[in-house]
Amino acid sequence: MVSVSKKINVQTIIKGAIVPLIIVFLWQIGTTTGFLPTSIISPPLPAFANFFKLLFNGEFLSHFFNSSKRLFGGFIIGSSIGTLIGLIIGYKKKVAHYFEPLLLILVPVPPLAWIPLLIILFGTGDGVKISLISCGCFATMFLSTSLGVKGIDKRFLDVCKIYKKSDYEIIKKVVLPFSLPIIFSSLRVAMALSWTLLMASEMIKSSSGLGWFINDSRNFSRADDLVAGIMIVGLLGKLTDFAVVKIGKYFTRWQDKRIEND
Amino acid sequence: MTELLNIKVNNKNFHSKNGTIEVLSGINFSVGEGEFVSIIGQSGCGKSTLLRIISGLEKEFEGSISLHRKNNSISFIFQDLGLFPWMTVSQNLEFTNANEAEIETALKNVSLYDKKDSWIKELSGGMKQRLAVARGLINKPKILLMDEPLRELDMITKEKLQAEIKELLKKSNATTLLVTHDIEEAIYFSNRIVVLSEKPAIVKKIFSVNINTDDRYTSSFQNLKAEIKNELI
Repeated sequence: MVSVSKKINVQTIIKGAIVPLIIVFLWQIGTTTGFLPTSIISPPLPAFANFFKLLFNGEFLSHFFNSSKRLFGGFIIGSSIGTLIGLIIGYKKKVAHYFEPLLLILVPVPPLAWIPLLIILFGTGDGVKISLISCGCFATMFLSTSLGVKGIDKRFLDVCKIYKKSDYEIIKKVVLPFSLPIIFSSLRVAMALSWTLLMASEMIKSSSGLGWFINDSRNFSRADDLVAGIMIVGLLGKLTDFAVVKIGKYFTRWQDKRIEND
Repeated sequence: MTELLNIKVNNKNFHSKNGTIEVLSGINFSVGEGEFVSIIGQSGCGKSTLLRIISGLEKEFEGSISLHRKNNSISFIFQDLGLFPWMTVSQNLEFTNANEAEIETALKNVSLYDKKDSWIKELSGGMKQRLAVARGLINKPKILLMDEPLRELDMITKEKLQAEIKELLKKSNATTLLVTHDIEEAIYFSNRIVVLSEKPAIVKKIFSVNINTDDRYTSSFQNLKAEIKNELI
């Protein structure tokens, strides 16, 4: 069994590496032939060398920490509020009647459209970036959580009624755990959106952060920094997604995968 | 036998886009304290709806459910069991507010103590049914409602579990109402069997079971089965 699973893992890694290797190959040809100007896009080898150099560069690490603070700050605030309100509105029809119409008007507004208002409210520092990411995460988590809760199996609520559980207990012990699979799927989307909004906000107005670093590299024609910066953001994005998936797997380990696959 | 429960449902309708469907009508019978009453009828005749009305889960109906004693605790074993898959076996029992000692006893009674930390997905069909029974009985309810809890089991497991449940119910002394479409199951457990007609369901006939039901292959058991079957068709 172990050897079969190892074989599958190796095969998966090989399959997953084929397309990136082709892209690197085409990239090398593009820069060698001059099709891709090296003043804008560095060839692969210097870019990879710079990628490792940046990982241990103190200045770059400070950009990384600034971005992390904004990313996780916005993600945690927006996701937790969105999930909580989604749980309440999905479960309590009476509350939904009052708040859902307004929220459903606000949710489709693209997060970037909030920037002017957020600048007025929070200035141009970290506040605007964190609040922008929060807005995006809130909308994603609110919508999916409330829809997930509405689909709860009514037999579970019947059991709660038989044992005379309070709304608080029902939300905590039944509605929330029932919704965890959809919450974690949505958290992956929210995390990906957080990276997008972080980059956008740091490129628009900032003096630090990974988005600013990439934009600054473009402005000053540091092609190797530009490509290495993008690669690092991609790698970090993958790592955060991996972390959300792992945490989600732990909290939903009770799920019957046979049913999930069906 | 002291009367514990009087069930009177004059009318219960379901409203849909296609109009109103009358599900129950003219239901009137009583259940004595400690009695086991089965409600049988064809699939979709409204048996489960009747049980939901008795439990208080269904509130919109014409009629009344009268309990002749105060502080009657009701427990319900659902058709699809309603076990929470995100809780372990013992957490499912904890949900009923039972204490640790009660949980231990309940799990030992249904031979699931060694599975107390298992997830529901790790249990077999029979184990899930036994856990649902344990949850139904853990609070020592005065009234136990069971909605076809053994429906999805194979015959051998079903008969084994029926015997186990019968033993547990003897100990608990709970007044029990069982909804089933299995005539043998109804005879095996019951003191009386209420036969419902098709929609709108009315009480067609009430059978008293005055025979030894432990052996299903006696002529008296089989005769009663045939008699009830005739009434159902």
